[in-house]
Amino acid sequence: VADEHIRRRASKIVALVLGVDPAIASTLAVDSSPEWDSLRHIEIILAVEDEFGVKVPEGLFRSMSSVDAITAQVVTLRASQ
Amino acid sequence: VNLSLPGSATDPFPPGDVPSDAVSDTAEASAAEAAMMRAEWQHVVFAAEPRRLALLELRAPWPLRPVRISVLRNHTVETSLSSLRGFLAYAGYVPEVVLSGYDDALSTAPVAAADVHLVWLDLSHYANAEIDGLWSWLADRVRFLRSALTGPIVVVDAGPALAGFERFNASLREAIDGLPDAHVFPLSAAVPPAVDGASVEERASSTGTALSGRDAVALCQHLGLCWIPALLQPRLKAIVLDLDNTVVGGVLAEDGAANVRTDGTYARLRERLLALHQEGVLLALVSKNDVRDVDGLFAQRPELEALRHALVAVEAGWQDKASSVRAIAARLHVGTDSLLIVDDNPGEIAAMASALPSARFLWAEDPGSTERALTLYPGLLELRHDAAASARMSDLQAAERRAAAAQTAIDPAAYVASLQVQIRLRADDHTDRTRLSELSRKTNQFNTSLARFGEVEVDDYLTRADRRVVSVRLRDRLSDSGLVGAVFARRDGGRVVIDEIAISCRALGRSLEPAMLAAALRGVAEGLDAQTLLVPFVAGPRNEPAHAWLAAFADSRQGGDDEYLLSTASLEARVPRLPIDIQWENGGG
Repeated sequence: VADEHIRRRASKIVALVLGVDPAIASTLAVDSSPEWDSLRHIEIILAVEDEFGVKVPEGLFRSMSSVDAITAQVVTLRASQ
Repeated sequence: VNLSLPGSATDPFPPGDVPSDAVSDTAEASAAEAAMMRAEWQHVVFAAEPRRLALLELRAPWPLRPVRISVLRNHTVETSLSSLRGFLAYAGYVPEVVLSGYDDALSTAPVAAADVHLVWLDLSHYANAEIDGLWSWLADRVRFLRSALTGPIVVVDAGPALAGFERFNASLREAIDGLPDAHVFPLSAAVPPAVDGASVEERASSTGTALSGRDAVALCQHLGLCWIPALLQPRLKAIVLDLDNTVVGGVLAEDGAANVRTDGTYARLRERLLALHQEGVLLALVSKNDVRDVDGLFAQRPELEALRHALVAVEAGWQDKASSVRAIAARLHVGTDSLLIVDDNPGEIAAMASALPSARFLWAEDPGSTERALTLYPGLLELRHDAAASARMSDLQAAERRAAAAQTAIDPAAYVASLQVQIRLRADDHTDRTRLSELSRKTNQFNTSLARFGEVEVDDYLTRADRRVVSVRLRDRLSDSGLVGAVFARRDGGRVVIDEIAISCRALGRSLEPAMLAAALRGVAEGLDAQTLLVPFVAGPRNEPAHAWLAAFADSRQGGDDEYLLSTASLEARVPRLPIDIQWENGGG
């Protein structure tokens, strides 16, 4: 349930930053979505950080490439931080 | 919290609603609905650490005025400025941001057509530079930009991450001080205290900026709520306060004067209000209480004495609050659009917003959040010290004494003589630049063109040989009103065009306009060597008093247009035969 809650909020962040419908946000990924460019990616990471109270190490930036990947990283980071 | 009115949308952020640059984000709401929505937004926009997601979700149902912001930068600001939109929407604006390239040398040609020019450098790029050389170089670049641009310029200063940032900031401020409409934004004061080095972004190589995400949002909060509105709109003139559960904790009629709470966060709220009072914001009280109870409260609680002394008007009673607010606006000679009304009762806010749609409202949910909101509320920031502020306070008290004297006077000339009125005029006085711009930007009732001249445009009138600006000062035995009038003129062929006449509302109601303006207009005509003056009138929502005066004062109206003609010969005849001491102080006449 907690993971699903994180996933919904992550999906909302991606939708609002990219300006897309939340219903399709979870289907998007960095490499397959022209609107998900490098600047938007940083913006998504910063929004994830203050929404979930985590700090994303620079080395993980690239890995947060979809709503599913963001959800997984947030779960891991919350457990470790 | 949900303060939605019955029948209004409970979810203002429907799925799929995405940001847009449209002038209105959603269908326009009624004034009451908009006031309620703004109250709901307070948790987001005035938060100590605002959340990006919550900001992205905001959609304004009220009209938004476009503002074009040109950013001269050397780092990635896009990820920071995305949060600016929500703050600006609360203030009534929608941004159009134009970015320069990444330019450490600040050599990119600036975008001339912008409402605000933001110079925002990541100073970590100059880590090897001497501090004195760095501020000196930046000040030089700002001077160059000032000479090339007309809109206001805001330079973001150094944050704590820069070694020697305090000296850098102080020197930069000193170097820029005096440049027209150029301001230094205090980044170090805007960002919250660093927690575990949070202000240093060690991932700058990936984020493109040394500013942390948290600090970037704090910067946007101050820019969007305080700074950009302060650059674009007149300052609010008065705060109208509710009493119960707003200024004091509890309900006076139920708890009694001895038991309402005034300590802790209520004391800090009073300190904030008194600080605003010191900066020239008028304070007034509107309370649904028996006036004797309100008087009793102030008499019994000495800790409220300073606030009571600062209140220029108190309306207590059981009448509806909108009527009380209107009465206060009339007493203060200000429009209701110059008022911020602070009240803890959403129902009262909705009712007042319906009756007073141009007023601003702050929901006083608790004293701590109200105090914080009053540090950030759009329209309250004093960018430069307002020299007229203290004069405004004493003028209001003097106005009531004048009105009482005028009512009992039989001979108008004797009444005016008793006031010992002095009018002093100065032509092209550079030291008046800031106040002249304020008069142009702030006056609503007696303003002939609503030109809203910024300091750079005022400089044109002060310096060009074919232009002239007259400052009008007023004092009498009851008060020194200071610089209350401005006349902006330019020569056009064989005549003088009066681009704007602006008189502070504090100087109105004494029938002194003919004396002030006949002298000032004669001075500009002589100074610009012309015998005919043309005064175009541009109608606005509240400048009918200027129109009525002009129509009565001018010799004729030109064609069917709102342009009025005057001659120097007729100006002499229009000076009222009243015992008023009128003199030019710098020979400008």
